Amino acid sequence: MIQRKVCLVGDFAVGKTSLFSRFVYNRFSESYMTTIGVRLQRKVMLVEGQELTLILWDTEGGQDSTAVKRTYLGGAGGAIVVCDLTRESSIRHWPDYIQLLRQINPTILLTLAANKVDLLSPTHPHRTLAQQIAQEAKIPLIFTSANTGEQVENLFQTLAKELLRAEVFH
Amino acid sequence: MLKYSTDKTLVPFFPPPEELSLLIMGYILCDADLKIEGASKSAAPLLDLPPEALQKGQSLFKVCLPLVGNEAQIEAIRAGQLEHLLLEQVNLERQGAKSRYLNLCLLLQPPGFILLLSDVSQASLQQQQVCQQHNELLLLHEKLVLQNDQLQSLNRELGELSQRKSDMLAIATHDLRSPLSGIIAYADLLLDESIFDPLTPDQRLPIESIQRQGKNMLDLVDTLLDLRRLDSSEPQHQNTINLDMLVQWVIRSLQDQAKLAEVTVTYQGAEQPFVVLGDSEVLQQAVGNLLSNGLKYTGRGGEIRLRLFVPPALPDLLPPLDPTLTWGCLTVTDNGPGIAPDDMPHIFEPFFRTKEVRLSGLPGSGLGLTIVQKAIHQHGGRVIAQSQLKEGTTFTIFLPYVNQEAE
Ligand SMILES: Nc1nc2c(ncn2[C@@H]2O[C@H](COP(=O)(O)OP(=O)(O)O)[C@@H](O)[C@H]2O)c(=O)[nH]1
Ligand SMILES: [Mg+2]
Repeated sequence: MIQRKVCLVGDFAVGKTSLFSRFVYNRFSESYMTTIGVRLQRKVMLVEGQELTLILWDTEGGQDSTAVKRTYLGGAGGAIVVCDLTRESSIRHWPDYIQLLRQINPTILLTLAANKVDLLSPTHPHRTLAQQIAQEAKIPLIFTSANTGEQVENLFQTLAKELLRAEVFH
Repeated sequence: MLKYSTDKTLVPFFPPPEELSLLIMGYILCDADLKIEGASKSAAPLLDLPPEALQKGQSLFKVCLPLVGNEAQIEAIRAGQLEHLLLEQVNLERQGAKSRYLNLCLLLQPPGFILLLSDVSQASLQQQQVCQQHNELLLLHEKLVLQNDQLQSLNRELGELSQRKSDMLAIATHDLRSPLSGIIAYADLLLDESIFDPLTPDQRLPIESIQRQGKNMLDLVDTLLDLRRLDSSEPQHQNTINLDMLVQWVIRSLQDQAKLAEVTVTYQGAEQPFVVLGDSEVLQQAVGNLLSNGLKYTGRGGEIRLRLFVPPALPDLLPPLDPTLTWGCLTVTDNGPGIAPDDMPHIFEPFFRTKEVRLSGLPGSGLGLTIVQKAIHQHGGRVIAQSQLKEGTTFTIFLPYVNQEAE
């Protein structure tokens, strides 16, 4: 059985906990409940016919990447870097999180979640900004909404596939 | 280093009372391969496991999810490169139950390891509340900053639009001025009997009309140009002006008009010299407009009183007058027909003329009071009006007073 630790990181209130809850329990709450420390949950996935267990770490977020507790990130095979599409600063902070994660584990597999897409007009410039950063960092980008559930399954599937592919490669 | 043993000395009582949960600790002892050797009684409940889950030989990774993935660090501890692995405030999700936060610390306990567990729920829940408030404030702040930005850019756009509009007005009025002056000059010429033969009354009438209406139009164009000049936030000139002398000069210059209108003009000057800073031409126009307005509307036998003085107290205005400045005021009071209460809020608006004035057929652009207001605002002052139908109207100008000794 393959098990992988996957961390959710990003500025506070971008929707890390909401993506976690949508994915694990298929639940969403409008009200904001600040996460302290880290929340852990195991989730078994079927990826291209293969079983993979993700141990999800929903970490507390701060104003930027300097607030991240590095001890939480140790041993993570993958991470999802989340932003709130309505808050430009949270998108601009992506490169800092990416750098931090790669510093701790150079072979970590990453996926970017541009969250709260339900709140954004289809032509909003923040979409392009997110795409630019993703392209420059060469990291898959998924526009998600924890609220509607849009692309949430796909987000975790995308990362899970990468994790499995890396596994085969080893 | 502390020595730990499998006896229960670390656990004072079990099950523990809720209020002491802050102090609860537990431990699990393992061999070098992280297979469980023993545990304190409190360990299983802390991890939300049945007691039998921590039986001898079980893998620590199986019962303690947060350790999965940390194999490299554990190796480092084993090799003596790392002192311990500390995971703080780990919230092991429990469906439907209150959050429990644990601090986990894995250390070498030769020949194996020891995992120390401590419940930090109380402190964490308190911290959660503080962070929650902090983050909510930050979000609110971000939202405000964003809204402020949006308002500012809207405001900028509006400013640009308004600027473009007044630029266009200025160009149009300026371009109107020269042909108009030409038309009037030619009408004057045609009526000049020293140059041309006298005209028949039939010819004279329409040319006089061209002359009169042309002059009215030129007045309007000039007024519009004046108005435009007042759009800048500061006066073009900054001279010290004796307001007492300025008012007297304005009264003198309108003497003939007053005589013609059969209106008495009286003036009571200030006891001390009242000096303001600004553009005397602009202020003359403002005072002149108030006085000539009065002359126009007061009616035969009427009276206009002007008074310059330092007010004993500042009136309640919105926004309030800066109380750190010394204010002087000029009142222009007539006993004319007064202004209807419904019209009062609009009298300073450009091109506004009351129904009565429009019906009276008196000429006027409706820009006179707009000019007064702009002129006074440009000088950091304020103008207000009070009126009572059939009794009369008072305009009061407030201007900041320059303290001559301080100059
Ligand atoms: N409209 C919308 N709101 C969301 C979405 N994801 C999260 N939220 C809201 O954003 C707030 C912060 O979410 P949370 O998951 O606690 O953020 P975290 O601090 O990153 O864990 C909460 O009020 C959520 O209801 C989303 O996709 N769409
Ligand atoms: Mg959270």
